[in-house]
Amino acid sequence: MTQVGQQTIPKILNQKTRFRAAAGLILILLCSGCASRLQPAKVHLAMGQELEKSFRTEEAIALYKKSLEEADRAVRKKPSAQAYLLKGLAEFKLGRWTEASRSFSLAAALGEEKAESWAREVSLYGLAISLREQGLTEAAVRLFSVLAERGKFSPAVRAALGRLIDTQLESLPGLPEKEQEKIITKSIGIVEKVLGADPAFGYYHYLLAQLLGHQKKYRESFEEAVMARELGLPRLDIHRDNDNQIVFCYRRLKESLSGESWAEFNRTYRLWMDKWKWPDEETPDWKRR
Amino acid sequence: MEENKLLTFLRQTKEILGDFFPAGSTALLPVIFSSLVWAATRRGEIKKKILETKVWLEPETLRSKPAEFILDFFKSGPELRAVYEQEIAAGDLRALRAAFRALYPVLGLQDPFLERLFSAELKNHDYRRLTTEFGPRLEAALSEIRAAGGRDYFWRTLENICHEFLKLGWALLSEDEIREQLKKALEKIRAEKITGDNR
Repeated sequence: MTQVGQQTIPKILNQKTRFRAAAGLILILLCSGCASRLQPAKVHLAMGQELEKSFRTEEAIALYKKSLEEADRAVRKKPSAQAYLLKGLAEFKLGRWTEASRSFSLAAALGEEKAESWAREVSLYGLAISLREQGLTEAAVRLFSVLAERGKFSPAVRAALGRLIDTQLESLPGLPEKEQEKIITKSIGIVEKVLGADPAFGYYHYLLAQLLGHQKKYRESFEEAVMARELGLPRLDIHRDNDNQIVFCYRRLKESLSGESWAEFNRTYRLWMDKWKWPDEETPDWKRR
Repeated sequence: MEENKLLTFLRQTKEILGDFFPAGSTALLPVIFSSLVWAATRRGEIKKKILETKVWLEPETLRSKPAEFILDFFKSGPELRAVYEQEIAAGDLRALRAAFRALYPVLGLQDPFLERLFSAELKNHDYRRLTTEFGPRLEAALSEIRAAGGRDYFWRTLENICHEFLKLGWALLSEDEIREQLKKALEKIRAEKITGDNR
């Protein structure tokens, strides 16, 4: 950031000093121009992410498009690692993954080290998806697992983790109980590890709530689902599925708890219900009866 | 908005968009219903929502649910419970799990496109028919939309319609109210078509 606005130019300067000051000022303005060219792209990207959190996808997409236009302009005027990185992020947000992968590679070529692994991870994720679509589930799971446990590009890690857990859970019906428990416990371990590095991402709490539901740990599942809801979820269907999990846990706990433990849970549940403006204990605000 | 104004708007919409779809289309009314609901609630880019083209790296819902969740889903509504009474009593999770895959997005997540596509089955609580027809009908509707989307101006026309709809002040209502009023009005329009055909 430039400090131009805070600087005071001495009133009495000789000609040489005045010339040097003017040259310096132009240089500062030029440099601030480079930074400020990227500033709107950054701001629009950040604003888009905020809107996306509240499912205002249409407006978010408009901002990502703006951000992409600005980053694109910056890249044309003066290609830089940062500009390509921003361009790649906006493209990624718009689902233009091939372009995103290319932009990350170019950012890497211009010195942005982390972008190289981002480009690789985006390609790896694509490969895993096609393997799964072709029925090569085991190979897909291995790639999802590598990305979820060792990935550096958080959007790829997030998506791979969801796919990994879902594929693992799909294999449960028909397996002996012990085997099922082993898979669920291992999956919980993976989610908890990722959650440790990114605790404010609601989707991880959603995954944990679902897994704890498989273990019949309804109180813990409820708490994770509440956290997921409070932190925000990336898509409306996930948000609704998470609300259904909250109601499901409520029903199970209503059956199993009694006395003070039920009264205590019910008090907590009602507080959340009031906060979310649910018409009753089993009806989320979006659901029609 | 007054009911008559809404009916006029929907009749015009149906006429304009009808040009892009084959006669007797299964996709036309679901497209109108879901586009307007999504537009009014500002829940996404219409084209993407309709085609369900997932953003490549977006996380998804977990489709695999525990047996208890599936049983709870089937027991939660009296009509659903009645239809699947036998499977519930026998603990036939294999059959329930298969039906759940079709019924949960419609009844559990209340997807507007699917709701409209299976409105007749929902109205009659004919959940078995919904489950049997889920895959083929959805695929047929999506292929109609893909064909319409390939024609010039389809998406732009749809976006303009949504834009006009928003101008009428619909974003001020709750999603529930929008859905209810649209549902009623579209039913009227569908009935008009049937009456017209019988004359």
